[in-house]
Amino acid sequence: MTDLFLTHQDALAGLDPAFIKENPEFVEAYGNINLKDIGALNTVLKSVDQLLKKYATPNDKIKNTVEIIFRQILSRYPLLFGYWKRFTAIEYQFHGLETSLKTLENATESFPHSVDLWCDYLKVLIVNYPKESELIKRKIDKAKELVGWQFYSHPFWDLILDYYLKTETDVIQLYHELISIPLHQYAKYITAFKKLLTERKLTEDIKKVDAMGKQNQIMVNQIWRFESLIKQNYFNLTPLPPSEVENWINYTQFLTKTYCDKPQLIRSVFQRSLIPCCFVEKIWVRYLTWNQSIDTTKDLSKLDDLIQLYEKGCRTLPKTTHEFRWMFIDRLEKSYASNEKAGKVLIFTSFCKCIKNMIEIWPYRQDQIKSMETYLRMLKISKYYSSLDTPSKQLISQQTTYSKYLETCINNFISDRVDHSIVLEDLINERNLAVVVVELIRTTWLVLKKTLQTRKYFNHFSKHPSLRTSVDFWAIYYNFEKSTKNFVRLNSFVSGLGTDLLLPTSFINDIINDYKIFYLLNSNITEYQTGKIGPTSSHNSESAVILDPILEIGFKINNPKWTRKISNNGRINKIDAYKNSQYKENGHPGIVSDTPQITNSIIQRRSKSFKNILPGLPTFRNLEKINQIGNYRDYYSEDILNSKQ
Amino acid sequence: MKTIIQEILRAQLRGGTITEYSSVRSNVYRMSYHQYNNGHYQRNTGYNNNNNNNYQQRNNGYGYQNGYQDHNNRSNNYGQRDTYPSRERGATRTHHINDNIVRSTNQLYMGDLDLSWTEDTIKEIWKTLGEESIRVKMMMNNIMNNNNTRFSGGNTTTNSDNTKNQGYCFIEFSTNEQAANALLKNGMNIPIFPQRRLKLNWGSGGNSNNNNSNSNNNNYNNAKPTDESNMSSNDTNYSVFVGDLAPNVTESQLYELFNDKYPSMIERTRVMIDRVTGVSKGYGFVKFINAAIQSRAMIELQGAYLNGRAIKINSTGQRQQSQPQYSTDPKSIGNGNDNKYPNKNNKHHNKINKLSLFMLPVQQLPRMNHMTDPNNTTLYITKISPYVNELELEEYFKPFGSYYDKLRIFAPEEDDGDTNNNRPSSKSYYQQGIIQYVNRYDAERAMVALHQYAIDDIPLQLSWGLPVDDDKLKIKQQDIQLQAQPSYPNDIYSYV
Repeated sequence: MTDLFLTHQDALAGLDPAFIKENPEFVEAYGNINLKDIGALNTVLKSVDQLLKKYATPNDKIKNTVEIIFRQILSRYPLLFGYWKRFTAIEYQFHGLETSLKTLENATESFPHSVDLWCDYLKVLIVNYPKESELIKRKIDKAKELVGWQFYSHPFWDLILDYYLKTETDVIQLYHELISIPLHQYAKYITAFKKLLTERKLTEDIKKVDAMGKQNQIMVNQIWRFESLIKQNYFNLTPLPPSEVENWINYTQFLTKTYCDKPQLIRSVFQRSLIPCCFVEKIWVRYLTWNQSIDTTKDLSKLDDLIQLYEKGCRTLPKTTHEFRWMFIDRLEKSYASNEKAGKVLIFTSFCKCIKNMIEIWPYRQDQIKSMETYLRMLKISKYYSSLDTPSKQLISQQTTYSKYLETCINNFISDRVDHSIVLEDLINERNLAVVVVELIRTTWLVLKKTLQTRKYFNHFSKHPSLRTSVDFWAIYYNFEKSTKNFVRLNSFVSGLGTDLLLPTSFINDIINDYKIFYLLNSNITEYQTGKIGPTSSHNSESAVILDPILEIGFKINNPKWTRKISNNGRINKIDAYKNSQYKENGHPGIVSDTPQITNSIIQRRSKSFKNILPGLPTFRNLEKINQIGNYRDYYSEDILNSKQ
Repeated sequence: MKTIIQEILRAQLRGGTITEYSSVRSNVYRMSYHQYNNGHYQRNTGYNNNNNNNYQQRNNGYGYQNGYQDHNNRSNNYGQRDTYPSRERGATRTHHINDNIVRSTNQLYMGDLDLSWTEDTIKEIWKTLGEESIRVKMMMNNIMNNNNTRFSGGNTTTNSDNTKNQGYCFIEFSTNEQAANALLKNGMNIPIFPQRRLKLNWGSGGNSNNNNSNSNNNNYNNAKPTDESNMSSNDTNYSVFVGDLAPNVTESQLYELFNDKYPSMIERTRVMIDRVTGVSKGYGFVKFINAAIQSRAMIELQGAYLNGRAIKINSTGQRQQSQPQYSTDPKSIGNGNDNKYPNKNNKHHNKINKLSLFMLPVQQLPRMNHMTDPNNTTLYITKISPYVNELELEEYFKPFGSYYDKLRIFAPEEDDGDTNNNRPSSKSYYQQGIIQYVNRYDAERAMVALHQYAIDDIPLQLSWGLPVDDDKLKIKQQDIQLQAQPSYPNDIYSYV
């Protein structure tokens, strides 16, 4: 949280307006600060330098501003050792020795694998506090462990040798240690050591040293193949060329194969590689895989170290990397059972932290679901553990409390009363809610066998919007209704797929294919006839069209939006259909369907009925229809051309 | 009308059926149709009345054949022309090149060339054959292809090499005799390239003929036969360019289309075939026997449908050169064969313009891009919910068919440190994706089924797209380095 606060803090906030007016370049440089661009950072640094030249004795406000700027940059990129050095110098200028030493110490903690920073720190310590020999010794030992095995660590060794000579400590032991390390300048130390030994007339040791020197030479030659290819051994913001990464990988691969008896060397190379390649997931994975392989003891401190290392990786690696974080989770899960109580607590805590982190940084639903599933699995193992010899009564009560716990968490989330001190409640969000709900339903239905309760849950949760799009939830719902053979509900569920429940196409296809077979195998004619009506619960019959499970649901395959058109819409009204001229013409527009008729026909009339009077002239009906022009209905323009407008 | 009623009565008395009635009525219809058409004809051909009574009388009974009026009109003109048999002799109207006429040139066509040969290569070949003073015009593969890129689609072979020739060239000899001599070498093995044979013919460039001279004469409104020299001096080719052909149009189809409209006026048709793929290049040429038909066809058949596609007719370069000689005398523009009726020329010209009012509209085909390409199978998906990754989205698109590579999602451009990514209003909230199906059918089905299909209550938007290069993604990969490092929870949960 402090980091976040720092990065969003405006360093210029406390400055006088007059000062801001006088130094537009500095303000502009800070305004253009872009943590992605090393050029912009360097511009800021330059403008700070100019500022300090201009104001030889800056006031507190300026000092504060400069410090904030440096902290902002260095908290984001602690591996920029040049910035640390500059910051130390500035601190010295501002506040004197004490503060600058403190800064250097901070630097060695934030960036512990830098030979440069350690040398600076030790130098300052030795020069200014020669009496604190105990502290110096401690620091030297620490530095030796951290940077002593680095290929280019000779300045550091020179420094210690110098110090030892000054304090008249015996250096034989140190030399013995030193000559077995493959250093860039290994020969220098061997010569010096041999000289020292001849002075002391320890001829036997010289032979040993010679032998070790030879061995060391071979090693250095082998290492040099890789070391010579390293072009950039410092951290920079511009992306590293792939060949460099490749080289580091080859280098560590070679070492882990050939010199597995020298874990210190391998570790130091890994640590060095993680300076320029600190964003490269592959190297992190290799480092930790190797680390796990050499360390099989169940020591609590070792476990803690391992977790620390993993967490450091999680903090450093960008959000998009998944493998490393899952590797961490996997490791924790696997080592959980084999650890003692204290270790279990440690593992579970860091497991929760990591899951929480994953849920926060990964937006995608699939990652969320996977994380949540992993968490629930771990939760069951840690809190509701059951082995084969657990009595069944206890088992049931355990599962009941588990489901109770889940239900409380879900309900708290839905009703927006989240208690962030409870991990599960803290972890639930819209996207992984379904996982918890499915787990609850699964436990209730399959473990506790409470069918009624399960149905209640389904009714309750199916209205929640984030569950409506969940494949898991509807899959278990489908299975549940299948097990109860409730065809009315199944029909309505299947009919709603794609129109009401917008689920993935492949899922809908699978459900429909499965349901078609299931229906034919298990249904009967009564079910079929009643099934089309739909459940009584659905209020508006218009939106809920129940599809025919035999004839119609197949249309939904690969066309999820398919739905039957509401009947009598666009169809011929059956009562008046025969009166329609189109019906009568039957596809032949213009054909005479209303035949002309003589209304006062004399045919079949008895001549007597004429009563000796001339019959009247014939009168006609439908005569005008003979010349009627056929009525062509242009369906094409009706349906296609006009509908486009 | 009285007769109809009588017939109906008679039918009624016979107990007639509907069909009989209808047959009666159809008779009525036909009659009125006759009348209608006749009237129509009268109106339409009004401008023809005073100058061609004979024609009108002949056609009166067949008024409904109004559509063939041009045809009849012309055949009539033939009739007129036939009264001058001496002049027409020799100009047989067939659709292949008339040898007698062509041989008056000194240009040869040379085909079956290697595509990499240049003009210099051809000269070299003829040098070895003893012909030194020749000029070669190599047909290169550049101009037409530009007109034609849309038909080639993904087929790059037609576009790729502008440097290659079209496989034939024209060779101009200094005299006609030399050309005729050279033609005798047809079929001979080429000395430098023994695997190839010479393929020679008379060049089409010098194809002046009698009809041509006719049209020349029209300008002066005299019907005198012209001498040979006049004919050969006018070196004109009455061809038109026909573009936008459907790929399956054959030369004979093209010939039929033009020949139906102007019988016996077509000398030859040609559809350009890509030598590499053997597929039509989508354009061709039609050669007429005279300029009048050429100019009429350019107007009248513009946009006619051939195999479901409107053709486009354009002049070739040579046509335009011969244009000025018509424009000098506006009266004479039009049908050269009407020279017997000089006073009608103007009318005829009007007719062409009138007809042009009824011509089929030239359908403007839209420009070829990813939206209009009928073979595009790439779908561009926008408004993807930010919570969906590639694997999940594939579940939506997978069932429709197989696709290349995999579905790809481009994460929205991340503004550094900004938290406004979580607002649906900001553009970067949604993701975009691309999927390239193997089959167009699958892509279309997916588009129909999934457009506006909501994921997380956000309707997807689909449109046709283009495959995206990996470059864009690679840059994204590099950006990973610069991403803000994730914050990691520091606090330990209290209850543990």
